[in-house]
Amino acid sequence: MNLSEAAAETGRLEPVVEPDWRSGFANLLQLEIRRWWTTWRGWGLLAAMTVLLNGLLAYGLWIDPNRGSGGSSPEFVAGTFDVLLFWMSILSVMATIFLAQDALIGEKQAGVAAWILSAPVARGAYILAKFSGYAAGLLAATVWLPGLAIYLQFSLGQGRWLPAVPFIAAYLLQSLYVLFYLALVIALGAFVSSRAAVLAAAFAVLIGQPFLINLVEDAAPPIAWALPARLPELVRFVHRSEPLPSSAGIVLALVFAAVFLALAVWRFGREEL
Amino acid sequence: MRRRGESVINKDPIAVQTDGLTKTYLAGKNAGTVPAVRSLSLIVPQNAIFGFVGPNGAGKTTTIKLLLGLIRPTAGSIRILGYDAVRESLAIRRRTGYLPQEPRFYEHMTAREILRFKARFYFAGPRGSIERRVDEMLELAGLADRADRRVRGFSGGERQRLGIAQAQINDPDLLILDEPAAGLDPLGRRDILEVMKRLRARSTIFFSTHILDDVQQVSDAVAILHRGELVAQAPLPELLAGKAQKIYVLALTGDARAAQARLEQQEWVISVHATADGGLTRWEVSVADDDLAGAQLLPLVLEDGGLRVVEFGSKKRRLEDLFVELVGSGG
Repeated sequence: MNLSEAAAETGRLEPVVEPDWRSGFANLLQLEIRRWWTTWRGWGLLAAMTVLLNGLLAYGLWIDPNRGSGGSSPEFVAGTFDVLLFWMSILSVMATIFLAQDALIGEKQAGVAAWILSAPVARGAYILAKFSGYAAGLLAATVWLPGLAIYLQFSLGQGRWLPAVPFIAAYLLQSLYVLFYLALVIALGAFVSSRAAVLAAAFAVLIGQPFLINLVEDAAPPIAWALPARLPELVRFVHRSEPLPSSAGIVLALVFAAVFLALAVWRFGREEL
Repeated sequence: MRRRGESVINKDPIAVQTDGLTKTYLAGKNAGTVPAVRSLSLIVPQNAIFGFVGPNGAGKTTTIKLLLGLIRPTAGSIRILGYDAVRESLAIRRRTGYLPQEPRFYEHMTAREILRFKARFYFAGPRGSIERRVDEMLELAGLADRADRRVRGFSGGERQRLGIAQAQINDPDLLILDEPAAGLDPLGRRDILEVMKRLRARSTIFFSTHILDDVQQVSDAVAILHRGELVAQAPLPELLAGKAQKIYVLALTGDARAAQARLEQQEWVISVHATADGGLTRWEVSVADDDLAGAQLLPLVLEDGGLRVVEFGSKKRRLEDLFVELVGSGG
């Protein structure tokens, strides 16, 4: 192909048309989602979460000699589901912190971020694509697909289809818990260049909240219920269809996640690459 | 929002113009600031190959990052293809290609996937045309036979070739290459220079390098940067022509002291630099008036009769000489 043929070929290409603020977002998001499922990361995490949580459930449903005759009672289902959700919340947040801590720092340090941003990519779009791609991968691999397997196994164990709504409501709240930590870790990655600092700060938030709750629980219960660490406890109320003690935790987790993302976009917009 | 087609509307005879461009970094607590680029004013005309030369740490990569909006200037302004580099960086990046100094890509992807991914920032379709463009770039970079290998296993030279291919995927109006020949063998270097010469017809090429021979081979204009400051900028022939003085080179046998003294008395002779080389005496005679030197230099040397001239000619100035002259003396 000579130069004039090449130029004619280029002329046939249709330019990307998108607003400046999300320039490059669709292409980056597609890449992030593909990265989850074309590398070990997505499948490995999905397999680990599914085996761990469903193994636990299988033990309770089929093996545990102490399950007795109450194995099909609603209380048994709710109690077992509580245990599973407890482990799901711990494992999904751990996975979120460990996998997302490198999302920005790795690419900043390797020079990949500079290469991508030399193309017409808005910095905000870069952050939002990272968040969205990780959110889709993490939620699928740690909450929704293992959660679907849990629902199917529960139904099989009970010999009937269980109502799906309590499960869906619980997974939605569980998803919010993951998104809160994901937004936090992305924001930390935008502000610092040390993986250790990101991990330390994220774990400080994770471990510090229960201490804070203990401190203020008696004096100021509304504050204690407003902390995102309370989300896994709220899940219990949701799947039992009981009234929530407070919905402030849900609102604040949403607000915090939005603020963390806004901070990440602001800081990354000033990053010298 | 601006699109490719607007290049026609926004046609500017100058591809890159910086004015008083300055970038300083904080050196640390209580250590003040360190200037990386100082009051840099560059003009790069359209469709030129512009060599950007300087020693390590001169500020070349910092300048390139400023042009691409990867870092923000402390002071000064940058206009590229008629756009302001700070406020309209996206519009610039739509029409620019960039090869980083050490190209880094997603290691799990193949060369073809990298090019396809990069192409999708510029082109929405049709898919067949994008694939043909990707194939064309793979061919151009000499990577067609390695197109479906993961980048993880690529050598430095292969990464560099892939870097050059991805920089051209959008058929850019301005191609910015940071050390394009680094890591390439002599054949790879030759290929890169050929590509640059071919692209001159439709693109402006701004490239930084340490390899002065490459600059001399392909550049239309050159800028030399030293410690963040511009020490020279001109079209290459003008730069090499230098000041009014011209240097003649002679190799002589016999006692040349009397002839040297005679020459040094001439008003048109600026200096005579003599060195001994075995049985020969070598002179570099700097002259202020080339016409007088042409007429009088040899007769004056041969006046004694005891001297024999075995070599005679004018010294061609190389970019390397100029570079050493401008940068080497500064330490």
